[in-house]
Amino acid sequence: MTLAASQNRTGLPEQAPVEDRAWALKNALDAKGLIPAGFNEDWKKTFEEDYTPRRGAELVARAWTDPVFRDLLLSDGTAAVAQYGYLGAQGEYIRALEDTPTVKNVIVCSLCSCTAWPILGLPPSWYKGFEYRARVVREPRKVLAEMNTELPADVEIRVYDTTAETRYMVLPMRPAGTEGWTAEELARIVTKDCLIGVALPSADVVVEHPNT
Amino acid sequence: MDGVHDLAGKQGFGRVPHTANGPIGDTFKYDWEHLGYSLLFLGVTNGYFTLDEVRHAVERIEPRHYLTTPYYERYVIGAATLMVEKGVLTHDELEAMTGGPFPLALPATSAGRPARENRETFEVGDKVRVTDDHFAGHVRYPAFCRGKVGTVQHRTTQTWPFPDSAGHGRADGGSEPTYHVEFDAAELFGDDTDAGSVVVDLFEGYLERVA
Repeated sequence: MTLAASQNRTGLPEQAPVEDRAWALKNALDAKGLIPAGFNEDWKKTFEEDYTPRRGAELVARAWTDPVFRDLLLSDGTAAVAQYGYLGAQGEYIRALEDTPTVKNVIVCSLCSCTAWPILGLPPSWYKGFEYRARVVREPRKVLAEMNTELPADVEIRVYDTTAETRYMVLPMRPAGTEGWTAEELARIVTKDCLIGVALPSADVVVEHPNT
Repeated sequence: MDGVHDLAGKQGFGRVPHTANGPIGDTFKYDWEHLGYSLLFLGVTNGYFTLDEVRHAVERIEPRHYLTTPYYERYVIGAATLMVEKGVLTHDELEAMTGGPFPLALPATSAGRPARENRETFEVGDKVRVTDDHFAGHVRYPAFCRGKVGTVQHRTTQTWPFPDSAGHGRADGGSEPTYHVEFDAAELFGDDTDAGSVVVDLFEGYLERVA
């Protein structure tokens, strides 16, 4: 948007293009010698390569195939995640939420975007959007249905609002048709949306991209 | 702070722009998008401010500005606001480096507050009420649960500084556990909801025992 256009929008401040402002903030700090070499680049790499839902999928697949680990994940999620070395920024106190035949868990951060970054990946745009933040707390069944996840009427939806330091992951139910699969095979059907709680794993839906 | 950021339960929004397992693209869509998060971590690492202050700074973006600004841009504005408020940079330096206007979040209207002194510890299964509390500073309870009664489902085994203090850069936030409090959806929204229950992670200082 040009400055001239922004002046016509009542109540909105004039502002330089966002990329100019973002780089100016970095360059102003850099000019004072306040940014260690590689600081921003290292975070970018961590966000893009280390914090991925493949980790959460690995935890779910292990829980599906190992009852002892499942018990640990549900009773002390932090300890279970620490076994894999997957604790990290915005993922230091973890609680896993168990779906059952009568309860479906769904995660949101209505006040901003809080997410268990290291095991779910950074939150996607839709999760941070005003529609999801406003609606899923109040009408989760309708929101999920619009996202193509229809739940039986006798399944209660429990919404977890991430409002303090706990970071959640959903432990979905293991779907039919996966009997005898290895943990590696199972991990491939646990998507980012399954970990957030808005999708159900299916034997027919395989993850192809690390961030999908 | 009863700001526009407190969105839960607000009506009138359209469809969530996503279908289950649909494509979400790359982690960052533009090459500047990692800067909001990485520079706020620079501020936290260098001791200029806390992550709670970052949340509060973003909440202080003027409401129309907040509602029309994409997510990562709000964190660039929040980080820049705190760098200026803490004296790390000046607004003039920022705008000179930008070559144009760089409007920041509005100043805080509250100095924050210390952790509550008369807290009590709750157990799983206890009935608790969220205090009927109104406060212009940073808080971490959404308004939909204010004054509402729920059941404790989990008490954390770790403790953290009270956000109403830490969000203002104060040192009197103490250290509190939080509680996962489950509310029947009808307690929150009457019959105008299709949820079963909502669980909110609430600091001890926001809760009181239901007799």
